Amino acid sequence: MATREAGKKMIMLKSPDGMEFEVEEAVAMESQTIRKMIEDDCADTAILIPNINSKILSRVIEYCNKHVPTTGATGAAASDTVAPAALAEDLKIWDAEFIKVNRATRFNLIQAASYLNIKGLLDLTSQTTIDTISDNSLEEIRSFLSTKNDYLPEEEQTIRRENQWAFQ
Amino acid sequence: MPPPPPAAPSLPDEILEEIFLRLPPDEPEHLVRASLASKLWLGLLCGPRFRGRYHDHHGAPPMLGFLHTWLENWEDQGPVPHLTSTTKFGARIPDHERDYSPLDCRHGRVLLGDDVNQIPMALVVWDPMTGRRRELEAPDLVVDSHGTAVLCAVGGCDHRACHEGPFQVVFVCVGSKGDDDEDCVAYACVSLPETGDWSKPCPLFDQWGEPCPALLLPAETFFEPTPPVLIEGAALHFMLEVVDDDSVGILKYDLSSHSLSLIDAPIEGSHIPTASILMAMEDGSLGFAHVSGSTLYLWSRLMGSDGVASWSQRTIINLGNLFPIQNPEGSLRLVGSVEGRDVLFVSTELGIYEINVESQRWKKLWKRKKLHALIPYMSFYTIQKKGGHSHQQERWQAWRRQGCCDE
Repeated sequence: MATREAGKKMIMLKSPDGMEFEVEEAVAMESQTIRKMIEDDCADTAILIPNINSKILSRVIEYCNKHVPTTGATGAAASDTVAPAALAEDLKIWDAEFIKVNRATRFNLIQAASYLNIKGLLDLTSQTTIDTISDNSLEEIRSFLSTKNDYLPEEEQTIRRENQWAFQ
Repeated sequence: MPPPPPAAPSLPDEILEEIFLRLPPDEPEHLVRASLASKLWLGLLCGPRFRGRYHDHHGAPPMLGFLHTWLENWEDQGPVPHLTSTTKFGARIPDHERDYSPLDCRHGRVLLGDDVNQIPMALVVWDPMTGRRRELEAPDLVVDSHGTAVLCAVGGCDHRACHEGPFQVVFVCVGSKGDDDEDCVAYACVSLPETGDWSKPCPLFDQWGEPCPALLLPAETFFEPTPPVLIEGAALHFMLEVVDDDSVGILKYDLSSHSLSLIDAPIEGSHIPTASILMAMEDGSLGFAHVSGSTLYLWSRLMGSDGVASWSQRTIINLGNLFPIQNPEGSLRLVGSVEGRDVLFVSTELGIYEINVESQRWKKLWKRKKLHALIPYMSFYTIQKKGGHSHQQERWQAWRRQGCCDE
């Protein structure tokens, strides 16, 4: 439910496994999905976030806390005295640490960022995945993204022949 | 062969799509390689939903390569390659290709021409992605000089993936009026869009619409050998050179009214033709770029509150402050531009540079320099599955059967 804490409007987010997270409205509104709910006045009571467990939701909130404009997670991290370039560099380093998670967590974060429509988190998680696999062999890509080679040899040859330049 | 069982259940399409959306369009080999991982992924990456999202995510198509013509007397540098890749992309070149010169490139199609070995000139529309080509014979008009353009024939198309669809070729020419009159007349002809049937194997066709009403031009007027620019999908603009007074003019062909008109250039004076180029600016206006020494002058043609279009100076850039120029006097030439992107190609003594005239960001594109014209090939890569066929092509064929041409 929407409450006020130290002058800031708070929002309650609820995961399907029953955990509740009280977050600042501005932080929650990093998610365009939640922003729309709030703007449409659908956020009087706790907002249930389906399909995102508490472990992932807490990481998502951590990300939004860091990335909400003007006030950071600690309140002091992003004061007005910090130059924008330095702030951006700080965020980049923080992001790089944040995304050091196992494979399953990363995919869960992509799914959460997609559902909650958090562009920065979606870019970070998806781009990191692309960077991970772009220099890998086809077999490694299949293994990392869990897909099975179901091509017949002649079908695979056709694709290779038609797009020959991509394999040179 | 031991079956390799997947380590984990397949990821949902939404996650895969989000990941694959980030594949860089100017490194299309990654898209192709991903499609080879499984048939499931091939279906996803070739499907209309992903392709639409991919195009939306990345906006305008990337430059995969370019075509060019050499300066006169530089043919001994060897034959002009069909397409010089600026990425890993490799064009599909038909086996029996003759020695054509590139004339234009737009909406994923290249227009080539041969006016040396064949009269009326032979025109070829070529799709570098699929290798398909269609030949046309230029209209039978009195031609002293010509300008040509190729463009998608479908009204309302966003031109991000239409390279296999119906196209039109516009042929604009100037010729002597006859009757001992020294003046020239200009005509424009448009090929009929239903002739763009790629499914038939290269038949020669000759189906042009009626020429537009003639436009009277001064004597000794010629087309500059750079491609025209298309403004807001509505009008092609060709640069003209008037030999008599060494000036330039702009010939506008309006596609909807099928009519020609002449626009004055923003500047007058000698040596202008070789130093000026037309641009289709990102804001939809016609641009006119001119280089003098190492200074670039840019004008835009804007509509005034009185409904009359006029030139206004947009920017002046000292190129010598941006990239290395050995001899600031007279070594720079403007050799091409990217439609709708504020991007120019400048030839210097050190090579070809690409510069965005708004952001002033630049990069060196090529070490060669003696180019007459550089024509960029802008396109999203489409994965080719069999003989260059795709679902998109089937869609176009259905569209054509329904007779939905915008004529």
